Amino acid sequence: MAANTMGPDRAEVSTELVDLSDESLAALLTSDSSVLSHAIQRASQEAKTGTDVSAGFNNKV
Amino acid sequence: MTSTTLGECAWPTEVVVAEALADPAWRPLPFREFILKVHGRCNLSCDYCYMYEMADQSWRAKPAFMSPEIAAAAGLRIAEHAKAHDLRSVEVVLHGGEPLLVGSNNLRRTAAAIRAALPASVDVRLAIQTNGVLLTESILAVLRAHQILVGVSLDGGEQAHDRHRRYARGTGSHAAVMRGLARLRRPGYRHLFQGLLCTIDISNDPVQVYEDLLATGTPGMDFLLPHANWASPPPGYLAGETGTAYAEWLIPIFDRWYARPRREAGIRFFEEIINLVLGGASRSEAIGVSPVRSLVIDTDGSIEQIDHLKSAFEGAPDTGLNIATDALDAVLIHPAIVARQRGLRALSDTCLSCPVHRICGAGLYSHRYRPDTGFRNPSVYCQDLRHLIEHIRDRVSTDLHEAKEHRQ
Repeated sequence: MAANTMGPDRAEVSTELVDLSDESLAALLTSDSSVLSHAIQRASQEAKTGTDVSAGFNNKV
Repeated sequence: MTSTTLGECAWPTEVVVAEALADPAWRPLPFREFILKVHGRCNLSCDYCYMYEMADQSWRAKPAFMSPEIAAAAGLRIAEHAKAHDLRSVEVVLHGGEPLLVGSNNLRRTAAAIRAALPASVDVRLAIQTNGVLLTESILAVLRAHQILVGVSLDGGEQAHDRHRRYARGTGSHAAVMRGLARLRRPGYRHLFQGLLCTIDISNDPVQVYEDLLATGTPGMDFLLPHANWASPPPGYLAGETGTAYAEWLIPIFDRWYARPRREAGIRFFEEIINLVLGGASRSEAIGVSPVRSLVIDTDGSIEQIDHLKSAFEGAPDTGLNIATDALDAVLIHPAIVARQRGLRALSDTCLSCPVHRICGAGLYSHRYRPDTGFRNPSVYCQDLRHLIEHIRDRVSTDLHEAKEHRQ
């Protein structure tokens, strides 16, 4: 994979970046209050629950 | 047909529906987010507004505000839809124009009508998106009483904000918005504050804009790309070209925000990209390929698609349906609704050949519009999106690899 590309498949990218089922790694990555820690917590939670995600209206927060 | 009207052969057509119906794996997804246009006029005259300053001018022929009867009927249609699809939760967004122009009594009546229409088994999340000028004591009391969450539009500090967000007489609205935010931040109301929406102007200093937004004490914010398409280019770009000026504006904010040891506030656009990079799905229609399950009910009861389509051409959001005669289910097989629930199948061949297409998802639907071909195109912000995504991917990837090595 070229350094500046994502590769053809999101799942492949995910596997390369972080294994969310690796609990010791997840614990390490969620041990502080950083942006990345929050992101890993959200991704882990959604991966566990299989959240049915839809895309909401852009013009509101 | 005018030159700006979607051509008969432009995508999406009825063929999209036929393909979906022939696909055994496809089923329409019920709506979960309902945007009520409770007021169709505004007390500001922002020069970039998609409601009043862009292609669609349908607001001129519509009622200035939603009558109590139509608000009540909207509640019943939402309840009917929730019951038919066994929805456990819905979100109703009070929108405009400027929704707080309805006044505190009508706001109370509308909120009560929506909650009364839906059974206790359905969790109703009410929200409002306002310019913040009318966040008065009486309005805040209604917002609190009916648990209406509040989003405010703010473009940064005084100079950045007042460049675009002005009254019709030409004076800026920043001071009035800050007074409204000060009232909203007080104990008793603070919990209602959801965040800020900031439309990007690349002539502003990006980090200064971020810090000015952060200084309001907001729990979250989002940066919106100015509405544009291949016929009506973004500010700073020529028709038919894309570039990276918007990514270059956003990246210093991302770096400033991401590098802090403690997350200062949420930034929706960045957080959705990070979640997509990590293999998740987006909750924002601005990025990714998650199905869109939102619709608009206008002041006259007409059922419409997402309203920023008004930036594309006259009549772009129309479905031809109205809550007076039609159930919301009738919209589920409208070609444009089906198209926005088809994920990767809605992307152009150009997008599908791009290495970041599953993350980008061609960006916001409105930004893909070309008068000759419709919406199956890359975003007019194509290069910006790719540049930003790759920057975020690289930052996250580097940190994750370092964390793994640290553990070993």
